[in-house]
Amino acid sequence: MIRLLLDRIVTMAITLWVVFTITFFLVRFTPGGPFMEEKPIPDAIRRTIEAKFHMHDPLWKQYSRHLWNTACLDFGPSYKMEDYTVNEIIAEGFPVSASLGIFAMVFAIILGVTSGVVSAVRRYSAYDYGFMTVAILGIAVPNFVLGSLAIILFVFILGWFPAAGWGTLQQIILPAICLGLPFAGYIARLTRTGMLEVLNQDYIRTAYAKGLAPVNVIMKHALRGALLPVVSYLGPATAGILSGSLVLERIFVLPGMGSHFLEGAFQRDYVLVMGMVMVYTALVFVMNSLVDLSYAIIDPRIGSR
Amino acid sequence: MNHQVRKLFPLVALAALLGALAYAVTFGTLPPAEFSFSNSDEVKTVDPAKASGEIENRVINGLFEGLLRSMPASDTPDENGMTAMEPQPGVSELPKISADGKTYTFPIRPAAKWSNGRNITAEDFVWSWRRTLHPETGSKYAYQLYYIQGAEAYNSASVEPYDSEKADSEKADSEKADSEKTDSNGRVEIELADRQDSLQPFPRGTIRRGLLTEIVKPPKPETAGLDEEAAKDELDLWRKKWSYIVDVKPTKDGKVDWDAKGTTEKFTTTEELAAGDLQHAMQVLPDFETTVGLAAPDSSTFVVTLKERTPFFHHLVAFYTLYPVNPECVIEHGTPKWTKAENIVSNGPYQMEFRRVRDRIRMKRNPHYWNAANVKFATVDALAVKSNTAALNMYLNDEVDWITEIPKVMVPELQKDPGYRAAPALITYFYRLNVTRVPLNNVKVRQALNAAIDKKQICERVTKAGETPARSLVPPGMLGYTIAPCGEYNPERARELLAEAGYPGGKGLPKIELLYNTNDNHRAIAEVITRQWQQNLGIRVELANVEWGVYLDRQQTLDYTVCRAGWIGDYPDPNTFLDMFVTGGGQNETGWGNPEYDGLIESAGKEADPKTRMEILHRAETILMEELPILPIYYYVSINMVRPEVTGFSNNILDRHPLHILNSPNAGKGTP
Repeated sequence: MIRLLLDRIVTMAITLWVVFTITFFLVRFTPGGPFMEEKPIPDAIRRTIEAKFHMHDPLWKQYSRHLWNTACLDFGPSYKMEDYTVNEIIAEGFPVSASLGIFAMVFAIILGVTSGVVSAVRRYSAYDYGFMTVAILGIAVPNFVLGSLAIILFVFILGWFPAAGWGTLQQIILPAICLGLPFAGYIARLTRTGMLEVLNQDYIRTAYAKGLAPVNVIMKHALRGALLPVVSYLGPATAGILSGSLVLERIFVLPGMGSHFLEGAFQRDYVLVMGMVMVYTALVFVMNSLVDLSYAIIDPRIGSR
Repeated sequence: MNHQVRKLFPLVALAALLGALAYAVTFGTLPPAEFSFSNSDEVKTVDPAKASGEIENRVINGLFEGLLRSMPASDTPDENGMTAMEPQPGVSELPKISADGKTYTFPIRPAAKWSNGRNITAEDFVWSWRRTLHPETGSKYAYQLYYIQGAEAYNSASVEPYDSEKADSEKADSEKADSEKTDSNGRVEIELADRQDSLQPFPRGTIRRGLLTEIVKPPKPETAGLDEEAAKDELDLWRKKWSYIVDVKPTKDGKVDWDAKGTTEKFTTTEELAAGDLQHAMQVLPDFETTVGLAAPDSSTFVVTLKERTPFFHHLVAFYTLYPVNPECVIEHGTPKWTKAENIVSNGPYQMEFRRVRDRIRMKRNPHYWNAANVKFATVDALAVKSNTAALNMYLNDEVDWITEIPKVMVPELQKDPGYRAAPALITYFYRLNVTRVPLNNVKVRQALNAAIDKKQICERVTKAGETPARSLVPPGMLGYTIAPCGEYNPERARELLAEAGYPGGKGLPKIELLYNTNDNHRAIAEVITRQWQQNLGIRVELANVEWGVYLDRQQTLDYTVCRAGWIGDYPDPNTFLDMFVTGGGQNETGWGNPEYDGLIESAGKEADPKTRMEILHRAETILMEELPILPIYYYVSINMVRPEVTGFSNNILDRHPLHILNSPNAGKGTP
């Protein structure tokens, strides 16, 4: 177990360094720069600002300075949001994205597992066909389309939710549903397949034969085995929710990490983009490791190597 | 793995899930403000000295106030639905202006206070403007202060060694009063590198003041083969190697005795070079106190001395770059930390309650504001809604009271909405005509071209974002100014004019080339105009599109016949449009010139009476619109959507809408 953790930490450090290096050069070789504006700023002033951010130094010097600061978890002041450091922006954006992601994930798991179980138990019924059609739709329709449709339906026709913004619980629900729906679809399909496989096992038949109530059999005996593929899917799902939130945060005007990342890229705010990429990388890595770890716990066949 | 752990796992997972959910729920409790508006984008900074842009303007005008403030000149709009904006008393009463128009004396209002309750003093303004001009502040709009004596030199840190001949000739000029500040002539201030924080220009380190006697420069580097940026890098490196030899003057009670004998000291701005008697200095700047035209004779009198008469200076004073900041607050927290909601001290109708990046700035009424009794809303939200579709959704769904932009495609549909407010902006789209080329050297041909353009059609069918057809270079709606319109759309008259010019039915007229920079919008407009000219006048037109750099170059070198152009006014005064077309002016670019026009522009610059001045400028524009070296096409518009129950919102050319005079039934209701 300790070995596994150490192993993970070393791999993570290397991954972060590689991602850092690639991003660093990619953003700098993108055409345009942070201080090219529609209304040009006087040359001397632009150069003063650039000098403040060490932009006239040779690239290797910028790279090593930036790498060292990043290693110390200091991403520096944002180029464009002059009142903020990148750390502050991340600190403000993270809870928003986390909140959105948690709601989306919980929604996806609850809806996905329930509909998956129902579909498997009532195989080839109207429920089964209904749920699986919705699941396929959820997977197939891109979330910006889903977001726009949801706004038309729930905001303008039904009037249940506000159109955009951040501040009240009501404002999180709609984007969370749009974000979670595709994952609910995947989870439903995985659960259904897992369930169908388990329901044919001998021990389930034994449980029924013992005279246990069907609810008990399904919840206590069958579900455990059926959820293994779902757990392994949670790692990629987390990554998907993170990247999906880029789009939805923009549509619903949520001040999360996704909005900051996109705007940072558009405005060539190099340091902000770097900071965001680092946080995303670390996040995906940690979530995947957690999933691996829990997988090792729930499935005895998987050793703790 | 032991069985116990495995059994516990579902419970642990469930607990983690519930914990996460509980965490996620904690963020969702924010009551709405009494008034909220979509501010199009995140404010880059609320620091008046560093900000640039209209998005910042809306917030800074709520949080801060200058000596003067742009306010609607009247309660009722004119016949076009426009209200002129006029600089009106803010922190100061209206200034006293000297007879030569160069000295402005601002009496600071005794009731003016900072949000921490301290009185605002003239010294605060000297300090704030100095901070804006300080090269290390990196103020993008510092050039707004360049009309002030010595400001440009201070901002660009340009110092020259003392020249005794110059000093003698100035002394001989007995007309000059002692207090009058002149060219710095070697007077410098040197800040030693002993600051508390090397990245914060304020508080400053030890200051030495004296006469610069010599700058020792190594040989200038060769920059011929380098590209522009690399050459500038080289020159910057070279400048860093200069050493400054200064005759440091003795200081007594904070006053420098310039005539006393000083001590010679040597300075460098590069730390690595400092050694022995060569001291490391942060900056070598012109001496602020004696060379820049700002003074505070007492704490309620602020005196500004300009380089020359500047009739629109009061507009600049009402612009946020010249707003004050609280020196103690900036010094205590440093830049940018002082702008945080928990630190900031401001002086406007509102103060910052909290700020969430790319979400909102929540402002609350500032109880210390001198006019707080008339500020209607207790809380105002400036929302950073980047997508104008989302903003429109929020407006249509009653979540915001005012949006500052709408998606262009929605203009035709929203035009009928009672909340739709379109107003000409300070931007004109026009065509330049090269009057040095046949046939455009003939004024009748130019007038014919103008009369043959159906500008209304262009606005309604092509640009479709609510633009209004233009018949003048200067957009309507400026205080005290009436535009001088050119001829109307009249194909009949256009054909007559062309015939009078000697080209009946377009016969014998050489093919005209229409140049524009590559852009779909410009192309669409050019195509329509081409068609109109062909139909109405029977002339042949060829379109030529080139990329931006080439376009600028060809325009400048008069290598075109007809060329599209646009102009954004720098300040709400006709001069910013009209002085472009003086003979040989840098932005003229048409080859046109008229001595009478030049004379009028010059005399307007010297005229003290605003009314007479506007009349003179009107006469100048009349000439321009008669001779037509340019064809005005349309004025850009600013489009806002404002809830109909909101009052105090006026359409104006600056697209400025002071928050503290807005009102609605929601005001005073508190936040539920």
